Amino acid sequence: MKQAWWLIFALAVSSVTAEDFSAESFSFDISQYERKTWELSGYLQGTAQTLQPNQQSLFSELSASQTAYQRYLAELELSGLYRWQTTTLYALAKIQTLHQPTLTDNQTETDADFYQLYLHYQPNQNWQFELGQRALRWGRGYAFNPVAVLERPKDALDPDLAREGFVLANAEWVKSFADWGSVSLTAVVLPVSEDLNAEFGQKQTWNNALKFSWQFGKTDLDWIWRSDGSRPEAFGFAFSHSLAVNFALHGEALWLQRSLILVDSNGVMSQQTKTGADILLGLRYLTNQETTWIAELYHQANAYTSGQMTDFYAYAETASPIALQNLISRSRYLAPQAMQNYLSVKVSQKEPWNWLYWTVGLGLITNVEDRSSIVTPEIIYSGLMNWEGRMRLNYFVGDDLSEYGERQNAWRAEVQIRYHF
Amino acid sequence: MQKLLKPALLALLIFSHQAWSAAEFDANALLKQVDEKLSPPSYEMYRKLINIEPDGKRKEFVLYSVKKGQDKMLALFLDPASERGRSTLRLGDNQWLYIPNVGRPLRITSLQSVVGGVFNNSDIMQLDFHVEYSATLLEETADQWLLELKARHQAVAYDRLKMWVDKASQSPLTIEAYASSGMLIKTLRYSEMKDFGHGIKRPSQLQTDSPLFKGHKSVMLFSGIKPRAFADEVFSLSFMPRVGELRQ
Repeated sequence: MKQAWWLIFALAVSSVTAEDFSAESFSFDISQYERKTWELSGYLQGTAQTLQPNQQSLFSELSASQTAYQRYLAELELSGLYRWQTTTLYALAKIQTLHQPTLTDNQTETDADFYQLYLHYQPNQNWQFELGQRALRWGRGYAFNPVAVLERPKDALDPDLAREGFVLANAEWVKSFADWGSVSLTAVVLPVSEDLNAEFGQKQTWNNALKFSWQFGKTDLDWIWRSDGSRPEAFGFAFSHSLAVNFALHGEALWLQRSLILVDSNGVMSQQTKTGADILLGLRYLTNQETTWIAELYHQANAYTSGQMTDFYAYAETASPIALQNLISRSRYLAPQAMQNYLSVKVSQKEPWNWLYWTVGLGLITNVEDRSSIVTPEIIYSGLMNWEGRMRLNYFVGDDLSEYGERQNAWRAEVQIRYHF
Repeated sequence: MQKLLKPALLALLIFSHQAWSAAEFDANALLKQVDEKLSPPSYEMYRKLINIEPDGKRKEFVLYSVKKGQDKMLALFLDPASERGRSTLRLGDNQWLYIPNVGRPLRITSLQSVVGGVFNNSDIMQLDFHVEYSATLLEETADQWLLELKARHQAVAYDRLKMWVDKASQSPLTIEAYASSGMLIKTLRYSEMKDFGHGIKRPSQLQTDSPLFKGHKSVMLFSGIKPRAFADEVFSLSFMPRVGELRQ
């Protein structure tokens, strides 16, 4: 493995040397940038991770290892398109190989999947139609998007990570007005059957959704509706608004009914169904020193309360690993944000101390109720043409019987190198 | 005597005010003319940004931009591969950034930088000078005007500019950009006059250096500037993932 890292390093160095031209030879040939029938791009990425299991966790027996272990992930993302008159075929595919040398079983796994594969037809600037596997992205939030009603869950620790889309059809109409900004209406149909979009929900039916958006001056607004189908009916609203040139607010709200699997301290399970609003309120602020602050408060109406989590932890202390694993797979107790109130803060500084192409950042996700947190410092370098390096640590902080204090890992450190082509 | 002095002073005040207003009007009219020389009201263009480090290493960005009227601009990164597909939309003081992996446009603060280097976002997404600045004439020589440009609103990255304009071509030659504290942030130098066709004759190269990044230099090359009409819907959030389709 060490040899592989040396190879990556050597490639990086040779790439820099190749760019070291004379300072005065400027040329610009735009013919290579004209629109072509097909395009292909992507990246190759290597990630080395060290994970330290939390031996004090109630769930440590469920961990893959009781001592620190390494994981190596190689990833190839390919993105392509093929144009034919006013129709375009888009594809996004990922091949990932995960190698875990210190674990006894499942040492190497390889996955290859299409994340998106769809046809896009745009007869004019007002209308567009799409058909196929498509990852929609609805909402205005950074770490959380309650109104993302047709998407797979977002990883709040890495919100920009590509996610697999569902097979759907959608149509969008856009109209701009001289004095009233622009409006758009999107209609989506997402079928669920045994073989299609089965992960969206158990009920096999047609799911419909509408989104009406209005961008007017300093404000963007979205109204969202999802029909009762494989998931419950939901109504959503999202906004973003610029208060000043360096300060913007955003928010989302989603009204829906959600069911939760509960367990009491004796292991008796029940189901709680409740209707309420998931609410997100956030801000983005840029200081004079080019420090970007993104802060978000997130409330989930039907998530676990402190009392319900206490019952779960009491049960976990006495339950057998098999029974506990069974409960965890059926419930949301160990889901990324299992409880009701969270605060997310991301601070990033571009080019600190005038270091060109460096970015340093610090992320924090705090469970407001039990005061446990995930702290994520990171440093990114993008100064080499088409190369990007990132070092990051996820450190879980919290008391016993708190959400992040009971996580299976105490921390995770990673080094990532990505080459774009 | 006092009876005579008062009207005389008043007349002097009115006259001087009118003269100052006329000077301001002329400078703003000139600035508008400079803008018209640089680009037509609605157009497309390609730009290459080259960041050169003190040791000669380079990082290059290629952008395709379209603009309509005084306040609508859309730019798409074509190179390097790490930035490809990113687009930025500017509608007046409002800006959005679209990143393919994120998959949706995000409203960003209008001063947010989307690319590293001596050029910043305001250089890339700059609207016409006369829209963002009001001008006064500081100095006039046989072949140049020196204008002082004051930001009309806070969304502009530079509080004050000094612009040297060539009388013959009515093109800017040098621009010094100052912060509100009076500190010189960067100097921009236009060069390489080129006939782009369609009556557009303007500098095709812009070099920048900054006392904040000693030894670093950035160059912007302009190409393929041509007038083109666009529907208003092109400058909407929905269109941001498809900017590349506008290329011909």
